[in-house]
Amino acid sequence: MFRKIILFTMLAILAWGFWISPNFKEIAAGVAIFLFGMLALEEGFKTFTGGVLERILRKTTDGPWKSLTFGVVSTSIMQSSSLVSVITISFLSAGLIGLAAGIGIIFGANLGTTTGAWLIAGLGMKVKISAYAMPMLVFGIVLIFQKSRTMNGIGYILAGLGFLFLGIHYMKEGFEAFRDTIDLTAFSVSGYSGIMLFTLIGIAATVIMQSSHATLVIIITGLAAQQITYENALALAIGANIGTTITAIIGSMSASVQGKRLAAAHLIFNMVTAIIAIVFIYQIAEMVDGFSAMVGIAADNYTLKLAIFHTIFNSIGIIAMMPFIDKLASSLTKAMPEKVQSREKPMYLNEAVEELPDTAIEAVRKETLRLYDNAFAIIAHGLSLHRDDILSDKQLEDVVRQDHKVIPINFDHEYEISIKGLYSDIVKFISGAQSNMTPEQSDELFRLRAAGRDIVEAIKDTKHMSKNLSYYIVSENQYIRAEYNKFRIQLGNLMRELDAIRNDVEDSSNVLSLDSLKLDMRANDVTANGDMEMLIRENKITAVMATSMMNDTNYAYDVAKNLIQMGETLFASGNLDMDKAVRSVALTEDEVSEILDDNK
Amino acid sequence: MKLLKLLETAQKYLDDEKLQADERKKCLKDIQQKLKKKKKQLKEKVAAESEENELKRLKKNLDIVTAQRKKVIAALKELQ
Repeated sequence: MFRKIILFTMLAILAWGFWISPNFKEIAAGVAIFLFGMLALEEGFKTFTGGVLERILRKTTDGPWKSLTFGVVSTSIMQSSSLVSVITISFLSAGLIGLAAGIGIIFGANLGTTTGAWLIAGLGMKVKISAYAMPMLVFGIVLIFQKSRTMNGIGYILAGLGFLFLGIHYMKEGFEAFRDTIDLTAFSVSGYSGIMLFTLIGIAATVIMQSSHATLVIIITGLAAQQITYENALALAIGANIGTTITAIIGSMSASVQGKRLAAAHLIFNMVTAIIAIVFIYQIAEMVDGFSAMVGIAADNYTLKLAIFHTIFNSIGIIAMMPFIDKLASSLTKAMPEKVQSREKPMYLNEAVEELPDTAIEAVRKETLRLYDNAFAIIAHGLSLHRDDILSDKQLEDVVRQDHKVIPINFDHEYEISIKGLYSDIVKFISGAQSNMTPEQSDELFRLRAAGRDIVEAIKDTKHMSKNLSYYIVSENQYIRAEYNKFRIQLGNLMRELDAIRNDVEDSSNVLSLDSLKLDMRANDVTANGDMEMLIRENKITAVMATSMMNDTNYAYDVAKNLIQMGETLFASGNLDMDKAVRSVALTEDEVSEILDDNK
Repeated sequence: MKLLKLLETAQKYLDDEKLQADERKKCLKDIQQKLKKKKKQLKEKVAAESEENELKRLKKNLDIVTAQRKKVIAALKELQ
């Protein structure tokens, strides 16, 4: 309700402003077009986040200086520190990068965003950029309607730049027309009180527009039209720097605790930088004058001098904060501890990762792997085996021989606390995450959902089997005992092999090794049926035992089948092209049968 | 001539289908290499193994890798 009141009040004020001043209308339209351009630009770059950006990010963020460079370069190219912050938060939330690397990127993004001021001050004010805006818009819109994803992305970027240029043009025109009617410099305030006041105005303007770039454009165009004094413009730029953290804070609200830590680091960095800039504003301004004189910028070229000021004070912030990046990361980790997760709560799935298709897929994969880890313990205990024994080098035949004890397990309770909630959250997340995805990416999500279903099915089959298993592995009848122990050994070995395939991350075609398990599974099934018939014929087991064994042979087969199917998706490399090729090479059931027949 | 090459390169980057086919070919070739190496290793192990069960297991794995390689070759042929 409160939000609605604020919104309508703002709309009413704007409408009143448009009524009384056509120039104000022009400036406001310029800001709106500029912001729309930013949205289109972000949309365009998002098209390319399905791979390239993620790959670069993964490779270039293994050290603080590398992360910083990535932040500077990516923000300079994309001209949006907000997009870089949101992507960084998504990556942190999905556990793809560490907090220190994330902080490095954010520091870099702060410096990268200053290139915007240079472009606007250097080109925007000197060249008639609206002349470039029109063809960009036309080409951009034509490309947006193309089917190719690449063309579509280029279209959005071109249209975005076109709108940015057009927005700047309207703001410039508006301020210049303003100059003829009202002199805004009459409202300027000098001294420290003016610096504080205009810093606050800069914060407020950036919070409202959620874009420091838009605030900077207003400052620079206002400065160029001599509607803002240079000193007040410097304070506004400092305020814009603080205000921009709001985007990161809003972005982090739905993110994991890692995302919140990053947003806090962003706020701390920008606050520290702002405090340094405010305290030493006159000294920094002198540095700007000196630098300008050195590179031949005219003393009255205040727009370029503002750009220099923006770069210098952000650089000072980086120099002051970089040595403390690891300390900052560890302090934030201590101050904002990870909540102890009950096992059923998702760790990687949140709104922050939903926006980026590849990150969302990776997060679902990680979460489904957690589901498998939880299921691993349940299945192991259902087979009356310890998880550690399965994952050790011990021969499972020896383990089974030495340990006859049945491990008690309440399947329904275990399923309720460590599987059901997590599985539901994965399914729910997948349903909501497909809006920005290509058909291939959606297919991958469906495969991951199917892998989750396979895990759940494997637990259910183990549950059915475990009733008889816990009864017969301590039976007096050595034959039935031996048969049920075979199930335990075979499934235990299968889980061990699956773990080896999962950990073989070097080989992107590792899941092809699952074909060997498929063959074992079929061979074991044939052997179990053969053994059972022999035991019945020779009266070594009772009819009741035979019926149980018949059912449980099927359950054991299904557990193995479901786990192998799950492994084919879950342990794949995550490179969609590679995984598709691997799937086309993996053997079908008929092909496995053929090999089995040849080996008879 | 240079213009033609430039156009071809541009076409390569802008044609999604061709890009996908190229990527698929690259992945299949990578798999083919790995399977070739695996097959060689398995053959060496088969030659050196004397224990019956282990030999059976190795031969079975060799059959699987051979079948997988055949599929890769067929898929690559299809792409040409």
